[in-house]
Amino acid sequence: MGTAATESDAYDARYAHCVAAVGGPEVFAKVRRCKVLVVGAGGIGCELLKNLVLVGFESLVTVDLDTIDVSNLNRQFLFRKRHVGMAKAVVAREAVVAFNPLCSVEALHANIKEPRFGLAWFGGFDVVVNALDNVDARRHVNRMCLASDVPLIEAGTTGFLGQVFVIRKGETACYECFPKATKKVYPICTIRSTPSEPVHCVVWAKELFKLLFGDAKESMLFEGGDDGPDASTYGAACAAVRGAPDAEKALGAALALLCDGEVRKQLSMDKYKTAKKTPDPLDGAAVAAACVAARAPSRNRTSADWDRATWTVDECCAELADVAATLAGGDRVGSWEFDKDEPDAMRFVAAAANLRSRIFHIAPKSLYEAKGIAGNIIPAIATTNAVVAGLQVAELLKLIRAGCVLGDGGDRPSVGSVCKYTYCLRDTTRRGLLLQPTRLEEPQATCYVCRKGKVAVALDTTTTTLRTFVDVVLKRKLGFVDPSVDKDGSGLFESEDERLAANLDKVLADLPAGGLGDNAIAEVADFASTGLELDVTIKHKPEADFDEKANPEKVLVLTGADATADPLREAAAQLAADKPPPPPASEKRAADDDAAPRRSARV
Amino acid sequence: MSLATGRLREERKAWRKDHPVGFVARPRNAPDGSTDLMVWDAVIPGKSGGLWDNCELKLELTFGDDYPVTAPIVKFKPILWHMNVWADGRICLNLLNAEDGTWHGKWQPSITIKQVLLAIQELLDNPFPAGARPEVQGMWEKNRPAYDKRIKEEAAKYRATSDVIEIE
Ligand SMILES: [Zn+2]
Repeated sequence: MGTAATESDAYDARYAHCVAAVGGPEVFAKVRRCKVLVVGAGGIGCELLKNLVLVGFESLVTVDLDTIDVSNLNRQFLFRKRHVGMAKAVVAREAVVAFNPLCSVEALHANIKEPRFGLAWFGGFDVVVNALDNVDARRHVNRMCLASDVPLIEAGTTGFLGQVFVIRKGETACYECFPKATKKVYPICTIRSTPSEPVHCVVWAKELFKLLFGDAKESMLFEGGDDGPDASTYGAACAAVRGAPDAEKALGAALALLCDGEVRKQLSMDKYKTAKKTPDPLDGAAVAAACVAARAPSRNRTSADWDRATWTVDECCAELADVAATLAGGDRVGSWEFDKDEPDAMRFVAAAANLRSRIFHIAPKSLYEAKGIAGNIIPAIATTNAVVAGLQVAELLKLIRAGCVLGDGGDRPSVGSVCKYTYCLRDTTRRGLLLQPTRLEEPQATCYVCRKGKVAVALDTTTTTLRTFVDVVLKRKLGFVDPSVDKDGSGLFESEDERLAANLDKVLADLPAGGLGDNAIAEVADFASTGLELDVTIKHKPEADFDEKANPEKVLVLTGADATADPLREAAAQLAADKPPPPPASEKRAADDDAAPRRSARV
Repeated sequence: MSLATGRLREERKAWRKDHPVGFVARPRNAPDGSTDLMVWDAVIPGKSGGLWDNCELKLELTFGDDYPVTAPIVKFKPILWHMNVWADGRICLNLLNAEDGTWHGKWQPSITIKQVLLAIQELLDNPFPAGARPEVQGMWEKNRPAYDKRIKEEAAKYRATSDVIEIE
């Protein structure tokens, strides 16, 4: 038998069952050549990579920044104990290639936000599948996929809950269409005076930890001005704990004020007149005494029971005094940042939150529970990860079957009509279902991310001034009337802001906030009534590479598909076709189509 | 490019189109020659005829990455002697509080910077006893003449001089 037969045998043995399952040989051929980027090789990523290679996807790239931790082993099943410390992407690749030797998987141990993963790189994939665990990276990938017009299949899980949805520029809502809270910030009144939930007490305890051992002035509990803590309140007593030779005693005095005197003061001001319950101060003298009497050697802190027990007031005082004695004289005093994984810090916060809870009639929590609250930990569940990863592959197959991915170039249905937004639920619906598919939302007109147009501009960032950029590129070529230019959280130009006028004569690469160099994104908004907003990606192209006659301004606006392709090659190809200088600046919109922002053609 | 900077850009546009007389609000100067869009400096004028008439009070607004889901942190700089201003300068105002189940939290993403500043101007003359500054509240409750005298002295410190941010 020849080699061809052997390969074909291997192919048949491996894929015979897949071909029908995905919808026939034509679809399966596309599955095999579909270039898939899997962002993240952790909980969802392991499941996803396994699913993809077993279905027959043969061209994968996976990127993950993390290395393997012991705590990953219970659910990130591609990893074994011997892999601890190794790169997730690399180990995951080895494992799935063993499942299907016909597939090619490139593993990149890197941060997806690195500049080398630019628009052109993203544009090289047929589809991107997210397996991330943080909002920041999700936002980044969302924007890159919108800008490079590649479909994105997003998923996330929180305990038993999960969701899977598809994002496509102009056809569905994007990741940022609906605002979501990334972290909960509690109002100062709730934390300082009116806690009602265990989490409020834990936040208070973290703030107390900061007041005692960290940057005190940054603590929500700090009282006083720039010259120091206010002596009339607990502030001075707390400050005295630092570096005190007998930290237990100093802490006892501070706690007596916090748990007794301060509460009485608030009560006396009728602060709680309208509240359902009024707080009960602890006995300050008893608290102070318990701190000094602390450090009973008989207690066994290392037992697991201790972490899960609800400590008494005396036990809390003993823990607090012990931590204070350990930390108060150390080098890190003044700069401690609370970290739930540092045992002393966590012990302190658990005990202080417990005391606080008792005052406000809130059920006190164990250290174990407090740690969960402090770290906002919801346990990851392997089954939920497996379910969402399976759903992601199902959505991907729908996209391929409908021609939304690897289509033949003709008309194709919109992603919104092909795919679903699917929720994984904890409790069954009335119809007994745990998966609830719903319609994908439309792009939101209010979204600051996807409603914006995106263009790329090739120019020499070391010779082009901001003034030229504003006058020639933004006003003349792109039709802005009164543009402002920002980069990330920094303002670079705004016509009525005289403080920024000095930037006009700087070249783009030398602007503040890191400059507008190669691959930087300038966010441009029109303060005039056009309301136009654009993200302008800067592509550096040396001045010498422009044709002086054809393009005396040495600026080239790339739009749509051009913007995602290799900028230099594209720019070179277009140079010959470049048109004569555009009309004068009085013209509100650029005359040539190429320069006007517009949506790129569909695949 | 985030929701926060997008929304702040909207706020800048809206402010430039129309803002109440005597008020200032704009992104802070950064040392490198750009402006920091996430921290704004503001000036609120005292209401004419009120306790803080002809005063110019400076504030700092700090916006988090998840603004407008969460409220900005608004502080008086320098710290104002006022019943509803915490000792660290933060303002105890329900408009700036998250929904918390206990108090009158009512920050909402739709609240604009203009609304926040106007509410603070209102609060200047109409404080409410809430325990934010015990020493101020104590005086207000127990010794009104001393309180009134102190307010006059405090207000005198903020009377408009040349040493204020230029008003646009
Ligand atoms: Zn959007």
